[in-house]
Amino acid sequence: MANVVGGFLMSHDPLVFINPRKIDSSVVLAAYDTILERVRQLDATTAVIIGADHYILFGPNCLPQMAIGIGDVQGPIDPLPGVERGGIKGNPSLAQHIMRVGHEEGFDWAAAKSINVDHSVGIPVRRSLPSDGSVATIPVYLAAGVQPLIRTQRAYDLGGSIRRAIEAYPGDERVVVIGSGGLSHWVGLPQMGRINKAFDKLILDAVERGEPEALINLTDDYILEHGGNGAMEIRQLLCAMGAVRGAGKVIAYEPWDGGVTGLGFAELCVAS
Amino acid sequence: MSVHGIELALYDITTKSSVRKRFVAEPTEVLGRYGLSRDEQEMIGGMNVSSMLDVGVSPMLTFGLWMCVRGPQDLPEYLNAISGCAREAV
Repeated sequence: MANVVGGFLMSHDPLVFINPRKIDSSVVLAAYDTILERVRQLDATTAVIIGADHYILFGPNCLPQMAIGIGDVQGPIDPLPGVERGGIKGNPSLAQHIMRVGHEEGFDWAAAKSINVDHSVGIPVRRSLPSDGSVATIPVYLAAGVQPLIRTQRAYDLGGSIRRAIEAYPGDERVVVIGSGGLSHWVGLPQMGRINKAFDKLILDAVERGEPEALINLTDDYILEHGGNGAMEIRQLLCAMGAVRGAGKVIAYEPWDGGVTGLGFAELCVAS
Repeated sequence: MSVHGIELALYDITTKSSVRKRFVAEPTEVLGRYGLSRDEQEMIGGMNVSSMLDVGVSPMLTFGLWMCVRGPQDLPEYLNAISGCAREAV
């Protein structure tokens, strides 16, 4: 029987790796390493990584609310210094099972039979999963960067479907679920570079209390004003919270000067 | 055309290297494929990202265009280019 054995939340700011201002990023990189070590300790076999498209994978011709990679996986498609590119070990069997269960429950997954992931999935894979391929990746995308966005309640509920699918899977898998999304950040907007520590604290406090409702009930207008368009990625955090269901523990929070994002890292406890 | 046509052109430029290279070399020829008005073509060809944001283009694409064409080291110039923009939406 398969189980969810752990969960993590992390940011994926590309500037941590591009680092145009050459500011020490060791504290941030250490947070990725901490998660890598925890993934090893949990003896995980597969990671479901919930990312956000940034108008890189999906274009104006088709913008899925939720998509899952059910076949070949590679990436990240966007090159970043220090982030390996190329093939990524997938888990098509479990991915297709998650998709089928979701379809039966009313979650209309779009399926990617071949996907070249972007940095929102690629950074967690390359920095927080073992490089030997011992942990397979199932990439998931939720619409958080490009309108129309998936609703926060729907993102959380989808996490529950992922959890039920994993627990109904006949294989012997130990699964970690990673929500890859930023805290406050304004992507491509005049406020770009602003980090709102108070907003970030609000999000991470809710994570630590295990209160997804506090995030679900935030309106998009509120998020946009206080956290920026990038903070719409709380959907990715909510989906992971819906799958793992326990309270969290912050690993690190860095309003890093070299980037444009409040960088948050947390571990979620698995609730029965 | 519409903001969607602008976004389609920007999406192709930012995600398809062959289109991007052609855009850098011959912007008029590339932009002529998308049914865009002359103003819209000039907006993109002139890298007028502030105007693009003002008409509702996704900031993911305006930022992506700048990074693809000018490079990630040019972030301060992008911020200067959009400094007068009032846009806050996704």
